[in-house]
Amino acid sequence: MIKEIRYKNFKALRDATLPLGRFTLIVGANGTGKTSALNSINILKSPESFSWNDIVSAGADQDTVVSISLDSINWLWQWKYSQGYVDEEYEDEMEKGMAKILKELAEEPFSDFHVFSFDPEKISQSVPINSEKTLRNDGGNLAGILDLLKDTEPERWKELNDALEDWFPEFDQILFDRNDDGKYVVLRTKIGKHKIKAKDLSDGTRLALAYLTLAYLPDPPKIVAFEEPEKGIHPRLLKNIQEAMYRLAYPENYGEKREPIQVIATTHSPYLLDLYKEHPEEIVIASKDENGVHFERLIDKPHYEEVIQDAPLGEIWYSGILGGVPAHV
Amino acid sequence: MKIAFFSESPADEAALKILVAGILGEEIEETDLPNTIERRSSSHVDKLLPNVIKGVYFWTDAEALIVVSDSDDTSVHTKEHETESNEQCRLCQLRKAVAKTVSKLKGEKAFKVAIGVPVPAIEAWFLCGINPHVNEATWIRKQNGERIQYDRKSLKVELYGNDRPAIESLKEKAIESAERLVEDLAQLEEFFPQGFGCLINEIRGWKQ
Repeated sequence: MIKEIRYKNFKALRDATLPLGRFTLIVGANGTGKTSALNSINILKSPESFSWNDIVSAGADQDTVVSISLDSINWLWQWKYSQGYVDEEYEDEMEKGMAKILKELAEEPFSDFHVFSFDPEKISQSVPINSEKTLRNDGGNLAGILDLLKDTEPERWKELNDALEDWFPEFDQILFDRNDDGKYVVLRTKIGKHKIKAKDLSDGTRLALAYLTLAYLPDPPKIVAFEEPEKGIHPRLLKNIQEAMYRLAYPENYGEKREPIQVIATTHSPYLLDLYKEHPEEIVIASKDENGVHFERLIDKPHYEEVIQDAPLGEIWYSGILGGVPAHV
Repeated sequence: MKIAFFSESPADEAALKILVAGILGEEIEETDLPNTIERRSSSHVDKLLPNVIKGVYFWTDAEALIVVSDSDDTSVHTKEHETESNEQCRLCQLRKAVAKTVSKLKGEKAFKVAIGVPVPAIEAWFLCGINPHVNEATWIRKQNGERIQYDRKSLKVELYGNDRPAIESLKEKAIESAERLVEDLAQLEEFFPQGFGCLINEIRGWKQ
């Protein structure tokens, strides 16, 4: 598990440390480096996809450093390149260096890191009959992964369908149908047993189905991130989305035998934040001032219990007292 | 003096800074609170005020907090409420919450809170000196069943030209109004003796 990531001159993160737990919810205004923080792990995963300009802070005249502390092996990894090396020749050197490091770290958890940003259109697309065995970051191949689950994990498949009924009481079964492009998901209505094609479901239902599926996979990625999981989801379903993320992060609480997955999510939703009142240790506030972006765990704010008391956490955050809200001119 | 504001919008805060500076006779210094503290609705003020007071007290360098919340449809504060608090009055509700919270603050930092309650909305203050019919006494008559010519929506239309004003227009009008009002605070106090009067009296007390 990644314990913390430290940044120097990395995109919007000029000098910041992001503390992470098994589950971390980052709240903050736009432009407070939440996406950059997630992308930093992506860069370690596939450095060849990024150039120096993708990494360095604008106008930075010092080294860029991203340090990742992993508590499982208590090991700090550092990547450092001088600003003086910024030219084509040294970009190549950088990529060589990164490739070498990546090879060494191939077994490390962040080599299996995915930032999921589900797209309703992709979720409902037909997939080839013999499709790949992973859920794509945009939710593509949902039909393929669900069909595989049905064939190989009958118990999980039943649990998933039970959960579907809980999330969407109007449906009782996930089924599949075919067209010229392959197979696609359909949901069967409880009343009337009508089959509703995935493409005819609401965006929110499709998105929620992708979260639900990921939570019930037998072998999800080791680290997953969700950018604004509230997007397109009715506020009342956020409790279910929270449960899906918790199922990944705390499998033992849900009767799962697999290893915990590290989950990092970002949000702008007071409603989602309200659900974490009992777990302030899971909340990180991203804020920005004249010195740049800062990350701070809610639990590290002095007197935080006294200040918050029994008020809704989302409201407190929205008020601006916690920071992590847009500054006004 | 370093003062934090808990109000409905950045536009309100911009106007309040001018008015409070006028009352104090000194500029308002910036606090290390990076953002305006905003509320989503009046009902959230009661719920959040204790948290906001403590947050400002513990997490910022502000010496005082100004709380301004529209009265909306609550009872207008009267002199009688000074002896017996009225649960239907927003000012009484806020005072109660402030007193309870401030009394429990542990620390050596001196901290002051002043409350203002525009009746029925801050646009009424901004129209003071422009529309003489808009004042607390008239609103009390409305609450007593008398037909009067304005409501919260019409105040917006009168001030901004429509009841869905642009953010820029809100701030522009707020500052323009405050710059005019600060030249004659006595008039604002006369037309809004409770909602603005309590604010100005509290702040004047800080200077003594």
